[in-house]
Order: sequence, then C-alpha cells, then structure tokens
Amino acid sequence: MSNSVIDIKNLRTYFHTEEGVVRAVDDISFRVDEGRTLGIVGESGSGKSVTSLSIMRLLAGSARIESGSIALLGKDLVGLPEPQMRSIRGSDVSMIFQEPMTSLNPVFTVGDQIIEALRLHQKLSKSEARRRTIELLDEVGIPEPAVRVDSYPHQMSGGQKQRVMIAMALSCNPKLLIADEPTTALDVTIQAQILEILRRLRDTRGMSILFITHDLGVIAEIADDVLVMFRGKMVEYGSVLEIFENPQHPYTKGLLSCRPRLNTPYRLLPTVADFMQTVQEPLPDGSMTTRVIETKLSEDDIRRMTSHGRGRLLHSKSELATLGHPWTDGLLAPDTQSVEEGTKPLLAVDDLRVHFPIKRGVFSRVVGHVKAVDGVSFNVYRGQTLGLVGESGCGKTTAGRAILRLVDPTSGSIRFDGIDVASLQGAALKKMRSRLQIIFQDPYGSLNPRMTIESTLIEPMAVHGLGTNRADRRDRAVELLREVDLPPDHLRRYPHEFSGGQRQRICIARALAVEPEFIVCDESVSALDVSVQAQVLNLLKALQEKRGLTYIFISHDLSVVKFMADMMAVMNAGKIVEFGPSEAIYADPQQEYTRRLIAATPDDDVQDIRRRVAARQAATAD
Amino acid sequence: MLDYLIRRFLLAAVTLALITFLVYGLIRLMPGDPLLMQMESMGPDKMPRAEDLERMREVFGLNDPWYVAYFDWLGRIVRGDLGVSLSRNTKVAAIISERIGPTLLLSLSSLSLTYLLSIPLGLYSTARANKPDERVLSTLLYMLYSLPSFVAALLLQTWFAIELRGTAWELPLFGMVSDNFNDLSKGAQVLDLLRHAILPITCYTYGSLAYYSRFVRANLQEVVRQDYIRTARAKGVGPLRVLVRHALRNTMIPLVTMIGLTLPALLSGSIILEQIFSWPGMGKLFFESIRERDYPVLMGLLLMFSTLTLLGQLLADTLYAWVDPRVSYS
Amino acid sequence: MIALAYVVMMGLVALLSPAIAGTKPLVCSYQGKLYFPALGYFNRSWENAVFRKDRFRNVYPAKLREKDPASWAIWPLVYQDPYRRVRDGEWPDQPANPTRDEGRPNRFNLFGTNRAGVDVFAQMVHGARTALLVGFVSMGIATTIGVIVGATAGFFGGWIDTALSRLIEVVMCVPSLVLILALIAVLERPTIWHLMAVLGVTGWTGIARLTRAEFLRLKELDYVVAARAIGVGRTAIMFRHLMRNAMAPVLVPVTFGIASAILTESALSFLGFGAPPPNPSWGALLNDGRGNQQMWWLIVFPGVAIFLTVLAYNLIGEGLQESTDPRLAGAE
Repeated sequence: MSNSVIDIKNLRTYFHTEEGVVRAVDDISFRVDEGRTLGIVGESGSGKSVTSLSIMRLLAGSARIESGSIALLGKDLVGLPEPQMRSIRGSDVSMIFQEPMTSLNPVFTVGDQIIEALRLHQKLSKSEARRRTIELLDEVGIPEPAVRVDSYPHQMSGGQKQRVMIAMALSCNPKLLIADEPTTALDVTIQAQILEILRRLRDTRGMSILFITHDLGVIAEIADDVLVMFRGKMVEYGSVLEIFENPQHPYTKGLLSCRPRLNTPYRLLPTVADFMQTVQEPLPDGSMTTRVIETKLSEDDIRRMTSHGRGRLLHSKSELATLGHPWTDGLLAPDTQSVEEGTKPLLAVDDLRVHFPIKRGVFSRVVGHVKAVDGVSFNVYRGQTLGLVGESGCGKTTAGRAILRLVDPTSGSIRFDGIDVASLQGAALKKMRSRLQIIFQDPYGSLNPRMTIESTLIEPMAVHGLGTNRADRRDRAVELLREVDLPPDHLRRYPHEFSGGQRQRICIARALAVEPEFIVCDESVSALDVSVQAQVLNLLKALQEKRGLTYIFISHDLSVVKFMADMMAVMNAGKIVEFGPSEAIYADPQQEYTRRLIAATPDDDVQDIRRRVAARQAATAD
Repeated sequence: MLDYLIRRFLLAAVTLALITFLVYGLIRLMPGDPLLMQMESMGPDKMPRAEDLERMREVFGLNDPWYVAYFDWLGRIVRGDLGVSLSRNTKVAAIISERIGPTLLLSLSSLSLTYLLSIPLGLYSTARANKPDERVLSTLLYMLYSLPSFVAALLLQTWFAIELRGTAWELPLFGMVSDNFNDLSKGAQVLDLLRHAILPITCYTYGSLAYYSRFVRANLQEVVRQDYIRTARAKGVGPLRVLVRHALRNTMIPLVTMIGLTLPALLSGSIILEQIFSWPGMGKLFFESIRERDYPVLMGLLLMFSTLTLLGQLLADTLYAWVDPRVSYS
Repeated sequence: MIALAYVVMMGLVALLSPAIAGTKPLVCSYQGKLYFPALGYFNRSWENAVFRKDRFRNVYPAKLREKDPASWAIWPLVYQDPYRRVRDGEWPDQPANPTRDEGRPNRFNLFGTNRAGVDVFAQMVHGARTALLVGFVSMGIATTIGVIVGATAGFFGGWIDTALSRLIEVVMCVPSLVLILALIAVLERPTIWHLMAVLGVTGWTGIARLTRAEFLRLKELDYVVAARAIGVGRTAIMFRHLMRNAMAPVLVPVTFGIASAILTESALSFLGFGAPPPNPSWGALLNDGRGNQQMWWLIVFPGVAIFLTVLAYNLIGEGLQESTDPRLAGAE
C-alpha cells in the first residue's frame, strides 16, 4: 500500500450563525494516497468546499473546525499554529479556485504573482524565480511564456487565467493540489484542456489531487476514488468504478440517473426524489440533521416510468436532406416523426443579424461592430423543440432575445406564424408578446423582489386583458401554480422565500400566464443543481405535451440540449455551424467544431471509466 | 490617449461655459441691484449721486441684458482679463494671487498630514477588525467625522481662551501672524507663523483624516473579501503582507483618484474656518467679496473653483488609468 | 437605535417647542373663550387677534390677570422666550434675564443668556424646529429633483441621459457652499423658505446620480426584461418594477443629505447669511458667541446639539446603507 498524502478522520466543521449552529461538514473521513485523485462530488450546500477550506485552514467568518484530524504527510494540521500553517500553504498543499476571473490580483502581472509564491517558500533570486516562472507557464501550456509573464490578468482569457492559477499552485511542487470546481466557470472545450493538463501534471509530478465538483461527468474523467457528499455528510466513498457501476446509496443512485447524458435513453429524467426522501430532524444542540429514507423502486421501475412521453419531431425529410442530415432509420430513436412536406413553419428566421456598434474617439465615431449574431437562419415547426447550443459569446442568447424583440435585429427577417416580428410596433408588438415568451437563467434576478407571487402572475394577465376580474385572475394564478407543481398558498409570498428551483417554476408560470404558443428557454436550468434541473426539465417536457408548446431551448450544455431538443443548431461566433436532428448530430457530426464540442463534453460512460482505470493501473505498474 | 485628452478638454470647456453662464445669469436675475445694495450697506449718507451711479453701471455692464454682459465678460476672460474689483479698485487676478499662499499653507499641510496618518490608521483598523481597540478607534473616528469643523473650531477657541490662557499651551486664536511680525527675526517669524497655523490646521485636518481613514478601512475590508486575497493566503502569504502588498495596492486605486478630486479644495480653502481664524486666504476673500457684493471678484473665484474642479476630475481619471492596469484610454 | 431615539426626540422637541419653552400660554380661557396663543410661535398669524387688539404685547401673565381676573391658563414648562428678554417680575419669583456677558447658566436660564439677555435654552428648543424644517424641506425638494432627473436619465438613456448627466456634472462642479452663498447673498430679504429652496436646488446631485445608477443596473435585470417580454408598458415598468426597487438605496443619500442640510443651515446662520434674526437658529447662537470667548455657553450648547444631530443622521444613514447593500443582502 502506498503512502497517504492526506488522511482526514472524523472532520466536523460548523458554522456558528445567529440562527444557530449549521453542520456544514459533519463527520467526514477520507484519505488520498500518493499520485491518486480523489473526487468529492455534491450539490450546492453539501459542504464540499468547506471541506477543502478546512484543510487549508482558510475558513472565513463564523466557521470553525469542531473536531477530527487532518493529517498531511503525517502532520496534524488542525492544531497547527498559524505561522507554521502558512509555510505549508502553497508549498506542501496548494489550491486552485472556481473563478479564475477574480482569483488573480488585478494590479500585479501574472509573473509577479507566481514569482511571489516561489520566493515565499524557496530561496531563489529574482532572476531565477522569473526563469522558473516562465518554465511553469510553458508547462501549463501558455503560448509565448516569456512574453506573457509580464501580462496583467485582464489581458488573458478565462482558460489562460486558470492555467496561471495552476502554474502558481504548482510552483513549489506541492504534494497535494486541491482543485475546487476549477472548470465550472469555463467553456466545455476549455474545461477539457484544463482537465488534460491536470492529469498530465499529476502523472509527471507524482502529485495527489483533491478534486471538488458538482459535475459527475468531470469526476468520471479525472478521479480514481470518489466521495459523495450530501448536506454535510459523506453518503458514499469508493473507487470511481464502484461508484458508477454499482452505487449503494440512494442519493448516489439518484444523482447518477438524473443527469442527462449524451447517450441517455430516457424521455423523462428520473429525479433524486424517485430514489429517496429526506426528513429534517433536530439534534440535541439545536442544529438540524437530514435523515434519508430510501424509496423502494427498482431501476427497471424507474426506467419504465421515464420511457413514455412524446417522441422526437423532426423537420420534413426533404429539409433534413438539404441540412446534410438525411432521414436515416437506424440513427434515430424509435417513435421519431417528421413534419409533413409543405407544412408552414411556426417560426422562420432568415439571415438574422444583430450587430452592436463599437464607439470610439472624440465624437464617438462608430469604428466597428460586434457581430453577436451574424446571419442565422432556421425554421421551427409547431410542437417542436429547437436546441441552440454553443459556448459563451457564440450569440445564442442574443439570437433568442432578437426573436422576442428584446434586442432589435440589425437585419434579416423573423416571421412568426406568417407575421414579420422584426417590423412590429406598438399594439401589434404587444399582442405578439402574448404569443412569444421567455424564461431566463438566473432564478434570483428574474423575479421582482418587491412583488408577491400573486402580483407577478397577475400582471401579465392584466396587461393582455386575460381573465375578467381580479378574483378570476387569482383563480387562474392558482391554476398556474398547480400546473408547475407548487401549492396555491404560495401566492401571498415574496420571491426571497423560495429556492432556486421553485423560483424557476414561478418564472415558468409567469410565462404561461399569457397563454403563449412559443417559449424561449434561455439557459433556464443552467444555474440549478442537477437534481433540481431534472425536475424542471421534466416539467418543461410535460407542459410542452399538455399545451402543445413550441420551444427554443438555449444552453451551453450539449447533453441537456440533446435531451430536450428535436432539432439542434450548433452555434459558434454568431453563425450556425451545424443544424440537424439532435440524435443525428450527436451520432454523426459533420463539422469539426461539433466534433470538438462532443468530444469535450464529459461523459460518465462506465466502459470509458473502466478503460481509463485500466490504463492508469498499467501506467503505475511500470 | 491624446484623443481622449482632447475629448475631455472639449467637454470641460463646454461645462465651464455652462457653469459660468448659469451662475452669471442666476446672480443677475436675482432681485436687487448689486450697486445699490453695496451702497446701502455703507450707510444712507454715502449714497452716491445718480450720475455717478449711472457711470458705474456703464462700466460694469449692468445696463445691458445679462446675457450680453455675460458674453462681454466671457470675451474678456478669454483674453485673460478677470476685470477689476468693485470695492478695492485692484485687478481681480492680483487679489486672488495674493490670497493663494495662506490658503495653500493650510491646505497642503493638512492634506499631507491626512494622507500620512489615514493609511496607517486604515490598515491598523482593518488588521484588528472587531477587536476592542479597533472598536474604540473607529467610534472615535466616526465621532470626529460627524463633528462639523466650524463647531470644533469654535469649541477649540473657547477652550484655549478660557482654560489655557496664560499656560504654556496658549496659542494665538486669530490671524496668520502677530502684530509685531515684521520686527521678528527670520526664525522667530517661522515659529510665529507655525503657532498661528496650529489651530486652523488641526480643524482643517481632523475631519478629512477621519473621513479618509474610514474610506481606507471600508475599501480594505471590501478588498479583503475578494477571491484574489484568498489566493494570496492559499499560497502562504502572511497576514501583514496580504494587507500591505495585495490589499493596499487595490485600495490605492480609489484613494489616488481622490487626490484629484481634492484639488479644488486645496485652493478654495474653507470659507468658515478662515473666517473664524481670521486667516487671510481664499475662503475669507470669497466671503468678503460676497459681503461687499464684489461681482468681478466673485465671478473670478467661481471660475477658478470650477476650472479646478474640472481639472481635478481629469487628473483623477488620469491617475486612475495610471494605478489601475485594467484601465486605458487609448 | 440610540440614533433613531435621538432623532425622534428631536422631532418631538421641535414639534412641542412652544410647550417646552415660551411666554405664551398653551391654552388659556380669556373672557369666557378658549384660546391657544402658543401657536403663534409656529406662525404669527395663528396667534389670536384678540390679544393684539387688547394690547397684550406678548406679556401674557400680567395682562391676563389684569384684563380678566377669571381667566386661567396652562403655561409652557419653562417661562422663557426665544425672541426677547424676560423682564423682572413677569413671572412670579423670576428675576430679569441677565444681559451682556453675565448670563452664565443658572436656575432660570438653563443654558444661559446671550448679550441681549435672551434665553439660550428657549432659542435652542425653537432652533431645533428651524433645523429640522430646513433639513426635511430642503431634502424633500432635493429628493424630488434628484429622483426625477436620475430616473429620467437612467430610464431613457441615449441623448437624454447624456444631457442630464452633463447637467448633474455642471451643478456638482460648483462648490456647494460657494453657490449657496452666492445665491443667498443676492437675495434682498432672504427668508427661511428661500434658504430651503436654495439648499434643495443645490443638493440633489448625489441623489440623481444614485437613482440613475440604480435605474441603469435594474434595467438590465431579468425581471425587467421579462416584464418587457410580457408587454408591460413603459410607465408601468418605470414605476412598478424600477422605482420601487430603486427607492431603498436612494434613502441613504437622502438621510446623509438631511444631516448636511442641517449643518449648512447652521453654518450659514453662523456666517450671518441664514434666516433673518428673529428666527431662532443654532448657527446664529454660535455667531453670538464668537465675539466673546468668555461666554462659552453660547458655543458649547448649540455646538453639541449640531454635532449630535449630524451624528445621529449619519448613523441612521450608515445603518440604511448596510441594510441595502447588495453584497450583504446577497449573503442571506
């Protein structure tokens, strides 16, 4: 057996708030051996980040380590005096964080910041440290390191900043690297690069990694062992293969199956609630603990439960052929249909362009344009879901907003049911607004904090004259809440009383209040935890079937788009790169960019994990 | 950069023209005749004869509509002529330049004291946040911040007049120099000046000192919460170094821009404090010209204050680009 | 909390000033009718004409007894007047107020008297009324202007925003005390209302800037975009969605503004440019005390009152700022 780099026993970290004690980390034990990677996975509030900050002894505010031991290379860190702890931070154990944008000091060059870390722990002259820094930047794949060493953080992209963070963390050859959601803020192709660098550095340096994430796909790509956390407790701990092949705890089972995969067979997603229920119980010291009760459902039950529902609805066969993805029986899921030849599309977007001017100079001359959307054309048929997928800045959000006239298109036509939306004004535009709706990403910013749920839901009805009087509208609001699975007594409450998932349901209810035919879902589930995301996705699918809605589903997450959408458009730099049936694009991508995107999307396919584990074992055996 | 500067100067010129136009118009449109008011305040027996009055009106353009008079005045300004004082018969420019020195003596020493003391105070209270000594210090600074300077000046004067008169601590309460200043030796002259300046400088300084320390502290506390401070701590940087090297550099950004914004205050002095201490500076000059309805001097001062404010804003923005690598105007 | 209690207390003192110190009865029965002569302290014309007709000359106790032996009256707590010296025997067993520099605090003149023998305590109690009136009315004017300008600039954007921002900058450029003095000085007979108007007209820029910034920020929020997507009209968006959410942060500069308006009023009165002499004002008391350092009571009492008031409003403003800080609110 190899040496443990870190060995944690019965760690408890509590927050002492005015409302009482919160057990953020409640009895966690694990160890990481030399050269191994432990993945800690959990949803928001599970205590995974607090665990990492406890190891670094960087807890802020009211958080305190109550009991337990943290042995790093045999030395217990819990009682270590601060000056000694300081000499360990950055040398024996170092850390990278989620937000590369804010984690580097804006007023120093990246070189200065790495040099500082080097000279803090090693006796190096300035020029030696600088030379070492350039080597490190080269090692993490920064092009022209000798030039970039003098760049300021704002002159670098997010991915480059995270590489700098890694270089800084590795500068003093730590035995353990703690990576706290290091790829969450990055695009998926950049995420793949960062994961690749971390794997390479771990192997070349024989370092151990503690990798913290909410994303099981990422865990499957990098971890040797996995620890699953749920509300401060560890619910499962084992090798990556055990966890993915044969999960024991209902929470792990739920988490694994509620995540849409690129090869998912489901039409509706199982949710964590299908596997377990939770009960809050008070502890003697006044804090609350969560007891889990397993729901006795076999996975077959759940598969049956989630395999009904509507099949895919594709464009007409002649259209598919012109898109370069002709109808091929074998590739497509059963029950897939295509619209009849000659059907008029509900929405026809033709050569849509949205350009924002860049102004400069003495008289604000326009010196150029940001071409956010640059010649986009597509059709959407009634009852279809069109997926728009792409990385940040590709123009998908702007395209969605232009269709609703929330930004004004520069040129091109948007015809909804034969009406040119781009040229509508006044009352006609207002009338159109009741047919087209939108649901946003941020569940916290999309509800007016000073309006009750009732006024939020009644306002759209009042604007469009739906319902006869206030009482009638309130009845309709109750009905809407029921439709999105919220109890009617929520009407009197304010948004801050709800969780993110509940708020998103309220937003859906508000969009439905005007009885729309067409809804743009703009990253509508991206800010939610996976277990909540599954519920909202199911709800959207159920509403579509019940009300015959047509969706444009915008997301950066290829697997979510593929799960939701019949047809998928891959966008890059303001243009549609590839357009076709979701299944076909995934199975047989025609464009290089699409292929890159699919390859970069983390997969938790058990065969892949097995292959990777075997390769790792072979490599370490040498 | 040059492009940016040209743009800023053009904007400043327009703003300046607007300000003076507005103020000139306001003053002229107010009820009351500036000439008559001036004469009345001298007493009814000194009322000038009607033809004299008419001649003076002609000279000062009071017979023209105010906008015509304004453009006359503006035209003279552009040629560098601020006009002649109504009550002193001296050139406005000469009067102003005579008063700048005493004001600068107060404002510059106060400014340097403020910056010298407020940064360490801010650092100290951030480092010891929520400890008892920091609480006491912060409360004290807050009280000082809320204590109006003219109230403090009056209280100090009273205290020195009643309690400290005749003791070793006695300090002159009024004026800039003693009556026998000209008979003193060079060294004694400096000492005399300093003794006169102590109380005004104290009153000038404590308020801004309290304000700046609180400003430094608030900014530091904001910066200390940032992710990059956590990064610095995670690589093993000690608490003092985190504060001085990583946090203070970021705090300097707003602080340095404030230097630019204090530029006008440097020269305008404080109307009330100079009045209380009979300090012959710009503030007192402004007050006197208001009392004497000396419009050429008033407009000259207003023009100067506004120009300085605009220059100060420009300076602040330039300094901002200099200390913050993220900002560039090219 | 203490600050809030102090502000409430000061409000009460201002409101009840004639009941605390005065020489006019709160209620009196005179020739069979009930009168409220003390209201005359709020407004001259509210003092019933019958007393002027009967030549009371503001000396109520003796005249009431003399003209109508059956009369009765309820008197203020302290028999002192903010406008004139109380003479010997006006009130049973109360000597005349001392004049010149002899009026140090005593049993009858709690805070002493000024050179003319007018009671300092009475002036301070009635001065609180002036201070609060100036603070609230001028900030009311400033808030109205500031919110309208800021909201218009932030909501409409484009050239309207450019023009209004320019205007804000112009007004901000002139040092406020300088502008106020310049405006007051050219008024022939400045009254307290002129003063408030001038303070209001010069003090709105901070509020306008904050309102504009809030509107610009809120305008981009998803719930406002969602309201547009629903088809809610411009006016409804402006008032229901923007104004309501922008108002809480705007309260902060308003509170600080009240403190600074009170301060400016006393500074102006101190310089002799405040409300004309009969108006009691803390600043005017300070001005009285300037001539003679021996009369410390003319400096200390009003000085402390100004200090405490400014401190209280600053504390409240600070508290508001903390409670509306988005960073702290987001942490909940």
